[in-house]
Amino acid sequence: MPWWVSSRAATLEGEVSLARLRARDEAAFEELVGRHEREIFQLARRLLGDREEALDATQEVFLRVYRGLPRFRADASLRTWIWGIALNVCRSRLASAARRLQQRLAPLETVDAEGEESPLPLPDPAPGPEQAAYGAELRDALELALASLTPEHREAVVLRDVQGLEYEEMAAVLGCPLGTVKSRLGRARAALRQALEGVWR
Amino acid sequence: MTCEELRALLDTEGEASSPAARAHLEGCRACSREVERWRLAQAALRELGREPAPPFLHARIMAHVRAEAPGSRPAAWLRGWRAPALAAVGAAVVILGLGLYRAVTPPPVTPVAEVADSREKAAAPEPASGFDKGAAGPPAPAAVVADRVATAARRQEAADGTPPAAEEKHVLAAAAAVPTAGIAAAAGEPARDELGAAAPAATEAMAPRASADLAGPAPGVAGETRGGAPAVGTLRAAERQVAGVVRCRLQLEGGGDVVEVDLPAEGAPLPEEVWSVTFSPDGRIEVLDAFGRTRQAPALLQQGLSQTQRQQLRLGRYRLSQAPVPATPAP
Repeated sequence: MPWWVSSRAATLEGEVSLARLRARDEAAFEELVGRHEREIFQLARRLLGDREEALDATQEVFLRVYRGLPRFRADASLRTWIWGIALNVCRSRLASAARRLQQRLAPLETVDAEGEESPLPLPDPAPGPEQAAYGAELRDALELALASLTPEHREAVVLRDVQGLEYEEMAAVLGCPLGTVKSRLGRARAALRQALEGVWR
Repeated sequence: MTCEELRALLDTEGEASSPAARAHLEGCRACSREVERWRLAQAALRELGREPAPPFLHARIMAHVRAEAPGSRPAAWLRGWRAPALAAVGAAVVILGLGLYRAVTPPPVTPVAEVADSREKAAAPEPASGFDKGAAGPPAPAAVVADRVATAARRQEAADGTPPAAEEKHVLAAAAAVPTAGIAAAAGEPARDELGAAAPAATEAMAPRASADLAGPAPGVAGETRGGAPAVGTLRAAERQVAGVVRCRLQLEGGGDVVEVDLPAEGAPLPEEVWSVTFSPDGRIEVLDAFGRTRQAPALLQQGLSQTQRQQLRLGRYRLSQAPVPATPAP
């Protein structure tokens, strides 16, 4: 197949040619980055709750993608694979952030070593009754509410309600059955609605 | 349908639009209110996903990936550039041919394969070892570059309180090492060995300035790169940094205005780094480096820009990077 046909096919499919990527074609990789960098940054931004951290994470994601391309099996879509890597990077960053926090708090508090999923180290939102339910304030409240969720719940809400993934895509990215995705999302949204309770008055 | 069932439906489906749900909502104010709130929350959540990514995101990712080659060596990464390298070799052959044509007496022709081979060596100067030697030896230009890289790393360390990750050091190292080879390749400029040894007549005919440059500065430099074949661009960039001033280029994003400004090396971007500069209507200048951190360059920029330049400058966001080294060397 001549190159213009294959590149057209790649465009139609909405993805960069895997053969070129595997051959370490830098232009192809740059195109891949251009296609996915924004959504991966958004994902990291919402999962990690911090812009700087999200920048570092995005960078790490694409570095891992670059390293992993030779091992990438085409049984998942490239996008799903990249998102899966992004989730892993964010999870390990959250875990190490939680560990750092625990170490800092350890002398003051007795930390239970159950390995419970801990929410992001952010101050208690404690939204005042005067807090309006619209615009920038709702946005801020949402950020805090998202940060108060467990990482698992936050992932579900972010993938579906922020990033707009379909259930099937979520299942592929999270690596769990459709039913699990739906029930997890249900619990996550319930937790989010509860965290937002104070905002509406 | 009970209130509990409705909320469960709202959570799993994200909406409550089934006939049973609608029937319940008609008679239940609390649930109607909850559905309305969720609708607002969902709209705001989608809005959260539209936060713009920083403009330097792409450059930063690619810088990181470029530093990552099999074995983390930029030299190896350069081997991926087969097409551009071939093009450069092609250009070199054409230029060489032109030089041969101009020369009155035809000198011995350099076999193409040999040119290609020595070009490849010149383009892959083994930055890692060059670095170590540079840091240990006398303050040759390459050592200055290494020192700047180290300074940048320290500055970053001070900025975020954590030592830069190993990978980040690679980026900085690569930022200093890659462009030296890049400049030579991009400009199609011959390295010292191939022309100096293989085709002296052609060298004189086509590139007298380049050889003058090489004869002049920094005798210690040859030892900094492997095979004693530093690219011409290496010397020039390094010379410039010895002078303590780096010529930078401000380019309005989206094309258009270009302004060149000389900045002290301390306050300027590293080679191949692109900073973002915003001139606001209230006179403020904000400078973000490739890592998204605020830089202290505004005052330097104010001084570096002439009165006329400042008057002509349109407000907006610019890309600040080192300007390509001019072809005419200082007298």
